[in-house]
Amino acid sequence: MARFSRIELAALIAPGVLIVTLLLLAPAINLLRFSFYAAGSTEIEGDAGFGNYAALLSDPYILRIIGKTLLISLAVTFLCLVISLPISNFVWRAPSRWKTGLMILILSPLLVSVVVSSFGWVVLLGTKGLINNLLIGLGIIGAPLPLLYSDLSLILGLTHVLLPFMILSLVAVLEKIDPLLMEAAATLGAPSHRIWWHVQLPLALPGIGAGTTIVFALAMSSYVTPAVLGPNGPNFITTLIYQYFVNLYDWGNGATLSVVLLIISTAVVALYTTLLSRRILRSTRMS
Amino acid sequence: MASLSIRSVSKAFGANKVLDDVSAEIGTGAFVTLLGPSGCGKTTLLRIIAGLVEADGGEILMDDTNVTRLEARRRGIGMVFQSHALFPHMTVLENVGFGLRMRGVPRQERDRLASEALALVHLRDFGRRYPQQLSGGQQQRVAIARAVVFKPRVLLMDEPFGALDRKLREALQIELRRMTRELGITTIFVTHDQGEALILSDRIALMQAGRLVQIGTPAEVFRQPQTRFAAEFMGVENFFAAQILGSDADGTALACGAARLLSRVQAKLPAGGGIAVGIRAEDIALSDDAHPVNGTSGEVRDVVYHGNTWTISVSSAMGEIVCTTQAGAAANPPANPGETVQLAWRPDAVLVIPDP
Repeated sequence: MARFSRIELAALIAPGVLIVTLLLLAPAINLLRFSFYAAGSTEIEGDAGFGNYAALLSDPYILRIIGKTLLISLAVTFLCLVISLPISNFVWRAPSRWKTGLMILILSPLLVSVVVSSFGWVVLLGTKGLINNLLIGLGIIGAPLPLLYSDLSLILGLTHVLLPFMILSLVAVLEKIDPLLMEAAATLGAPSHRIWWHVQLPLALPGIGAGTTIVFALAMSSYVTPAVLGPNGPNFITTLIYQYFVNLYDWGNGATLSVVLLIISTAVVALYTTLLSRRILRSTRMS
Repeated sequence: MASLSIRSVSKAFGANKVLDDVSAEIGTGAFVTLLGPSGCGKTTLLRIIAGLVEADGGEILMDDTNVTRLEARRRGIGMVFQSHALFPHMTVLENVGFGLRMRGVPRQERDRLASEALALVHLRDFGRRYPQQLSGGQQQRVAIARAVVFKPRVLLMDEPFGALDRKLREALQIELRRMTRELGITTIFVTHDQGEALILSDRIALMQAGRLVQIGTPAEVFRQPQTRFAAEFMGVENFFAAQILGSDADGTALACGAARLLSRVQAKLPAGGGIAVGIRAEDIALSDDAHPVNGTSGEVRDVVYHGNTWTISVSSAMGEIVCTTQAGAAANPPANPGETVQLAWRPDAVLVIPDP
């Protein structure tokens, strides 16, 4: 492998650092700056200090939306994990000539715009949608169920969109497991559910960690799906931020909420990966 | 510990017939090697005995109980794989204790037995380490401890030393031999290395293209190979077509072209029949005697130095003959190309191969 001097290395990473700084870090710092400005109707008027934070974080309405965003993101993450475990297992054990086709199938939700796939759920779950029509047609219910614009439709929509990330993370890590380990466990007397629990699952932990982190972060910051499928009115932290910025033209509070979202997501992910990496370190420890 | 019966086992993968009507009886406590070149079906047979592969036909019996349809986990076997297959997320002690854990042995008892098994393979102090922190040889010893700790009825080993270097392999072979004899455990060992098979085995089962060619003690398989393949695989270099002139209690008289040969082996075949004879290169010597009991003369084609030995190729009336002589301290070759030499060998060096 070629060796580079420190200066050469610095020159090589400089363009990347520059792009990240200009496009990611600078706007984030700007956002942070906005969050200290007092709420204004048309323009930024003076320094509010931590006033915005204090006001928003003591408002039960805001806190309820933040809490709900967290809960729904956790639910979506959990649901994605539960659905992905058997699917990834199936893909892993499938004959290799099937694998390309299966992977395309799994990636298909990502090939369609989130807007389109969210409206797909509208067609399915609406008052005159497929499911309600079917249930009424079968005489199971008399009046249509309020399936759409609910927490349920939001969770379903997010799970649908984010599932591929979880499955891909799991398949990637399962492919690296030596199949002989399963056979060794079987010869040592382990039934298949104990092989799964004691061997496959611990070895898949890095993939579970990566997948749940990605899905959680994407769910927390998703905007289109809550806007299309969620309950009416601001129901998710992102739709609330949108409302402050665009409808109320209140950049101070919008920026404050954005920073709060960033801090919560980062804190949850950081805590989680720290806890998980202790376990993962054990399983991948090298001499 | 159990005896093992393999009865008419067959297996095909698609059109590829891997095992063809293989039968063998393995007594309690015996160490049997399945020996053969790669692709001869030895690993498949081992995996069928383990229950990891289902046979198309035939039966596997352990202590007269039919286990053919039994799942791998219920067969009570210990298995060692070539790539050791240790669980990377468990400590050495947890790896060794895994089989006991699956059998519901409580933690303390499990750790005690696992430590004992580790002591058996000289790794008592390595229990808290992870497999990746051990060398290849140590990992394979842990795998052996893991496979024997729960006192399996049969120990199966699939080329366990194949990935190790020669010195380490030899040390482990001696250790394994001592351990299996000590534990009295019925062992089936797969290898393609005839030297390894000779060192380890009570009996060697030689396999070729999905069939069992010969089964016998190491000395039998080495000194009395029954087929040309068996002889070649056990290191016989020289083969000649011969006719039986006559056979009695002392041995067999053979004609090989114009040459006359005498073998100590009694051919259980009628006079006049065509057979093959094989002679090991190291059994042929350069001779001063112009008319030895067994021998021929020819012109030296090639002389190669191997350190301990010289290999000499001679073109003779019987055909091309390879012979090996001890080099000792002598720096000069025992013969030079173009020279005419006399070759001789003892009657008990002439192996009669009934099935050429």
